[in-house]
Amino acid sequence: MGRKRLITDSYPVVKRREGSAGHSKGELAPELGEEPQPLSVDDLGRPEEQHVIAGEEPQPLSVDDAELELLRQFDLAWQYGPCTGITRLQRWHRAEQMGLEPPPEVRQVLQMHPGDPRIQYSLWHVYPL
Amino acid sequence: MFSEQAAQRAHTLLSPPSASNATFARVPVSTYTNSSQPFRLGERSFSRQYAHIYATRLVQMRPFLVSRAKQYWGAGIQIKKLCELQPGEKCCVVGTLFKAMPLQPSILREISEEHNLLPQPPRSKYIHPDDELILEDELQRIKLEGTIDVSKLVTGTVLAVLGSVRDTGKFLVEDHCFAELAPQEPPPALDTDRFVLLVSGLGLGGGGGESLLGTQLLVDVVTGQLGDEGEQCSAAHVSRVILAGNLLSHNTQSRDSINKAKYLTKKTQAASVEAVKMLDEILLQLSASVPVDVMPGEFDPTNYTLPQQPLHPCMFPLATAYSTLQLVTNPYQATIDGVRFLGTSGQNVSDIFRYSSMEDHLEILEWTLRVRHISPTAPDTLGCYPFYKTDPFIFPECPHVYFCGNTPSFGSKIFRGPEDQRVLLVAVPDFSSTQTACLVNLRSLACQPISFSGFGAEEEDLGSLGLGS
Repeated sequence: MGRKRLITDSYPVVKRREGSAGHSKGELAPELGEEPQPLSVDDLGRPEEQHVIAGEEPQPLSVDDAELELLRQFDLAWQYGPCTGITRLQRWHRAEQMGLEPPPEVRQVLQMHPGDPRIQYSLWHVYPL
Repeated sequence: MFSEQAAQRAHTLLSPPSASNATFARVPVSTYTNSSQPFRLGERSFSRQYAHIYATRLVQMRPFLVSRAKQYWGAGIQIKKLCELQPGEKCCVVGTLFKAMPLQPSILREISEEHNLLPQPPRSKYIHPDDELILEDELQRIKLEGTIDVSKLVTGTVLAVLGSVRDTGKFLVEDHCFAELAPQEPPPALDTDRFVLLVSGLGLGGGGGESLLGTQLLVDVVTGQLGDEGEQCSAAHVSRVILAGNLLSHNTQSRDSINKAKYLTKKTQAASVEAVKMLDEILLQLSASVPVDVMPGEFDPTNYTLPQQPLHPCMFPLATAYSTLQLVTNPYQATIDGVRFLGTSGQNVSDIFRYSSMEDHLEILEWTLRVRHISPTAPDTLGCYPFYKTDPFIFPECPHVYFCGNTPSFGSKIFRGPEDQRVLLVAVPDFSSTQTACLVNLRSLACQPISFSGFGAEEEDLGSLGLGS
């Protein structure tokens, strides 16, 4: 039979690291590190939906940690407006249209990995509204 | 205008039939462009918060306010963000206004158990002497006090305030300014009188028979089936009719069928079905003769949030046979014979009326033009689509005719802007209660009310109608 299955096994496991509170909003906030942890396969052998595991890439190009860091900093920059609810590419285009001069490196990274959800969506994409 | 022209021609009614029939050709519309594209929504996604629309509003309006501030208070004025303020230093800050109102209906307070509140009955105005103004920019917010009219302003306005921070942490305002009017293209010079008829609040399906007579009289005047040859000639100068919202009455929106049991309501039809059939017949008569633009309003069967999308053509099987029928968005923007029209069905103005001390709808209309935003209270108290890229309610340029429908009474005014802009403001009254429509003369940019009324059956002489001023 294996171990008893709990209802909480079906929930995604998320580990959160608390960022330091109360810093001035003028500087960029330190990284909050909210990437969802890879989910394990449960007892009956069914793979979970989220199969993104850091370091193992089905795409030919590997995703650099530095690139992810760059995108995270782009998300947290207050000058370009709110980042939740829209993809990073949409936010980049909006910033460009309004004349805020977003960094072109971000656009290049976004163009190099068109299908990867970790690249295209913002930090808080997995959380609902 | 109308009746003077009519009086000049010889009276031909009650004369023996003549061999020749006078025919009047309607003035053709030389140019018409519908520029409501920013208000059309394609694929809609509601998985976004409203922070985006406020952020884009502030970013788009900031350059206008900075230039106005420099214009009013000198080019050397310091424009600072809230995080850079030093106490006691006089400077200018640009931000979005938020008005904290204790009487504002809040769903959280209603459902909260600790307060044990009954749902608040709807009031006509939610202002209170304890309202407070708070200015917010991208990062911080600060309370405002000083020479600023708290009761008049509403949430969502972007403005520039001049003053200094006190030691209490509040900002003492000495002066404030809005973005004022956008640049305007000069109006075209037309050679003949052309009129556009603005009607709103037809209120079909309301159950009252009197307004149907008025509506039929209106249709007959516009299609030239009423009056003497003089009136028919004048009616031929009406080049377009704009129906500005509330074609259906609010009685058609009854929610009884939702609360009653299914077996009681199975065979009942929604009240709006009958009303839409009546509307279709009226539109058929109108669009056979004159181009008609139909804007949806608060009680019409389309989406609730602004910008309201056009009514679906499947509801008007008879009238859509004519290409002169145009179903347009609310707000509506178009260029008719070179004259720029911009208008709404009145939800923006009535929402500001509820949260501000301004009493006159025409005054509120003028204020929205000065603030350079069609409806600053969206999305706070007025439903709005969660835009993220741009705020389409900011005026990109100043219109020549700016109207709003469903006001309690007729009002019209010429407003002059700081850069010699000239705007005709029209408050189109609710037709079902006032039986009045507006005629806008495109050549002189003047507006005239035209009222239709019939006397009741007690009177011996029926159907005496009053035309003209």
